[in-house]
Amino acid sequence: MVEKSKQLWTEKYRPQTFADIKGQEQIVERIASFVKHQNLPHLLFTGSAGIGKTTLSLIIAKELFKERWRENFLELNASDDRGIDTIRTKVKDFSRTASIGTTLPKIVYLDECDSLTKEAQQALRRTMETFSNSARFILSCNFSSKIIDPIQSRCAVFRFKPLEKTQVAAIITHICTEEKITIEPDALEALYTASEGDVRRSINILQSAAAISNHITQKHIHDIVSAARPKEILDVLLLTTTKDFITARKKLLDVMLAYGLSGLDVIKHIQQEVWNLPLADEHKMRFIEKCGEIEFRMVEGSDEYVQLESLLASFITILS
Amino acid sequence: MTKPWTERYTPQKSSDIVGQALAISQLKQAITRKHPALIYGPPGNGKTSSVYAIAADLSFEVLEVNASDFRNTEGVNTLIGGSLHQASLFNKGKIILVDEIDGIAGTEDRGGVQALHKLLADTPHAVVMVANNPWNSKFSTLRKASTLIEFRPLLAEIIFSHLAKICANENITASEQVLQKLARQSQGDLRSAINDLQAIATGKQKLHIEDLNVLGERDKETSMFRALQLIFKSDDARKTLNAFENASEDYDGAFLWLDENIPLEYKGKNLSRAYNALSMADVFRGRIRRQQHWRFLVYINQFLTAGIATAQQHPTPFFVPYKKTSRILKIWMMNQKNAKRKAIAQTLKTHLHSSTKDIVKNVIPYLKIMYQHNMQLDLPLAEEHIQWLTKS
Repeated sequence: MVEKSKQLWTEKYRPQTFADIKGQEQIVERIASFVKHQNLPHLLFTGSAGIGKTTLSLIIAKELFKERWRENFLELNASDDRGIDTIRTKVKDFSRTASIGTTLPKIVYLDECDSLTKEAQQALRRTMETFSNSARFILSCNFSSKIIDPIQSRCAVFRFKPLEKTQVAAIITHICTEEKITIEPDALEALYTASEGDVRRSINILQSAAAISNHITQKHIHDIVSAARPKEILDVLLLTTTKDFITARKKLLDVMLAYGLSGLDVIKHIQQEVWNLPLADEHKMRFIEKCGEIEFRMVEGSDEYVQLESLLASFITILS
Repeated sequence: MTKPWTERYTPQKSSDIVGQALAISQLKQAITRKHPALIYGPPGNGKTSSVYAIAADLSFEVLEVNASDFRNTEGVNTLIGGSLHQASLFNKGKIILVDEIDGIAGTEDRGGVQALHKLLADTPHAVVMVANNPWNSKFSTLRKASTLIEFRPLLAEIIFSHLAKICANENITASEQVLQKLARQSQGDLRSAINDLQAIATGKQKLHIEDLNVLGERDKETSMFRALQLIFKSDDARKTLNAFENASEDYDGAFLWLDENIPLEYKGKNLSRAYNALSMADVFRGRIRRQQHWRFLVYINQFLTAGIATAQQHPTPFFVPYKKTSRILKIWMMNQKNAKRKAIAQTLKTHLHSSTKDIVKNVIPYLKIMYQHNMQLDLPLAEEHIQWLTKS
C-alpha cells in the first residue's frame, strides 16, 4: 500500500484563529481584545510545553498583519540564538525598517526565555526599551520564576494552564475524524495520561500510532510511549539494585548523551520507572522521596549529573 | 589493593634516610641532649620520617601532636595531660613531635605559640617541632629557644636512585629517562616523587617512554592529586579545609576530580554520604551563579573538603591512583556523534516553530517511529536524514 505524503499533524492541525484554540479561554479573550483595539503591550507567556504559547503568538501576528504577517514577525529561540548579542543584532536588523503594510509595531517572539542568564535578561530588557517604538515583544518561558522582575514588570504576564482531559480529547477526536482513523476510549485515556496535558506530545503519539494501525488501541499507545522513552533508564536503576555504582553511573551518562536528555528529563523517567522495579513498596516510596529531594537540588544547583549520581548512591544505601 | 608506597618504603632506621646525613646527626644530638629542635624545609624531604627513624635507633617513643591542637594552654594540657611529665612506659625515652607548626595562625592564635613555649619549659622530654617556613615572625621566640636544623630539598640524583630501588623491588622495568624526569619534576620532594611513580606504575610491569606524555599532565595535576589524598585519607576534617588552597584548578575542576574519584574510595553508605556532600556543594554553586552571593564559596569549600572527608570515619590505607574525569571528553565525543540528530532538528526548527534542543528531545523520537512504519511525511528533509530516521 503506497501512502501519499502526509504533513506532520502538529502543524496541520495547529489552530489558525482565536476561535480554533481549545482551552486558555480567558487568555485568548484578553489577547483577542488587544488585537481588536490594535494595542498590544509586551507579553510574557508562561507555562509548560505544548499548551499553546507559540500557537497563540503566531495567531496574534496573523490576525494583526493578515497575509503580511511573515514580514512583520520575528521568531527567535533563546536556546538556539545563543547569547544576547545575537538576539540584539537580529532584533536591531528587524526593527530598523518600519512595519510593512501597516502602522503597527512589528512583533518579536522570543521563545525559551528561561534559558537566558540573568545578565542576558538585563541586556534583553534594555533591548526591549530601545526598540519599544518599533517592536512589541512576546516572551515565552516555562517558569516565570526564572525571569527577572524588571522584565516581568514591563510585560502583561499570562499563565497558561495544562489542557483538561476533555479539551485534549476533543482535539484528538477531531483529528481522528479528519484522518479517518478510530481510537478506543481507553487508548484516549492512556494518551492523555502519557502526555500530561501536552497537546503537541499527544498529537505526536497519535500520529506515531496511526503509522502502525488505523484502529488505535491502548496497547498501541503504550508501545509508542515506551519506544520513545529510553529503556536504558530502567537498566541503570536495576544496576543500583545490584549495588554496582560505577557501572550504573557510566550507563547513566551514556544514556543522557545518547538521547540528549537533561537531568530533569532523567529524574522524571526514573521517578516513573521506580514502580517497575522488583522492590518492596516501602523501598519504592523512599526512592520517590529521594527523587523529589534531588529534583529540588537540581533546580537549585548547577551540575545535574552530580545530582543524579548522588541519587543513585542514595538508592544503593536505601537497599543495603 | 596495595599500600601507599610512601608508607611501604618509609625508613625504619636513620641510615635508611637518603640525602640528609648532616641534618640527621644534628637532630640526633639535640634529641639525646633533650634540647628542643626546630626542623624545617620543603615538604617531602624526610623531616617527620627522620624523627621516627631516630626514635627507632634510640628505642625512644614518639608522641605526635598536631599544631592545630595548640589552640590554648588548656588544650595542650588536656591533650598531652599527665604523659608530659610521666616517664615513658618501660622507661623508654620520649620524643614529643609537634608537626606542621606553620598551621598555628599568627595573631588570633597567640595562645598557640605561648602554649608551645610552656610545653618547652615544662617537659622533661625531647621536643621536635616541624615547620615548612620557620622565618615567620610569630616564631621568633621559638627560634631563640631551640636548635634550628635545616632539611634541604633532595638532589634529583638521590631521588632518582631511590625510585630505581623501588622499581627493582616492585619488579617494574622503567627506563632511566622516565625516572630522571620524575625525579626532576618533584623538585626535591621525595614523597611526591614516590606518589607520582605509584600513580603511573600501578598495574604495569614496564614504564615506557610514552608514559612521559602522561607525566606532563601529572606535573600539573599533582597538587590536585595531593588535595584528593588529603580529603580521602584524613581522619581529621579540620585539616582538610585548606586542601584546595594550592590546587592548580578552581572549584569547578575540583568538582570534576572529586566526582570521578569518590567511588574509588567510598562504598555503600559512605559513598552516599560523600555524594550528598558533593550534591550540597553543587546546590551552593548554583545559588552563587543565580544570586551572585559569593560568600557561599565558604560552604562549597567546606562541603567539598570536610564534608567528603567525614563521609568515611576510617579512611582506607590503600593507595588509589586518582583519575582525571573522562566526562568532558565523552560529552564532546557524543556531541560529534549526535551531529545528524542536530542537523535534522536544525532543518525542521523553522517549520515546527521550536528550538533544535526541543526537537531532538520531543519530536525526533516520534519521527523515527513514523518513518520506521513507512509513513511518508511531507518534511523538508534530505534523503540521508530520512534514511537515518528510518534505520537507526
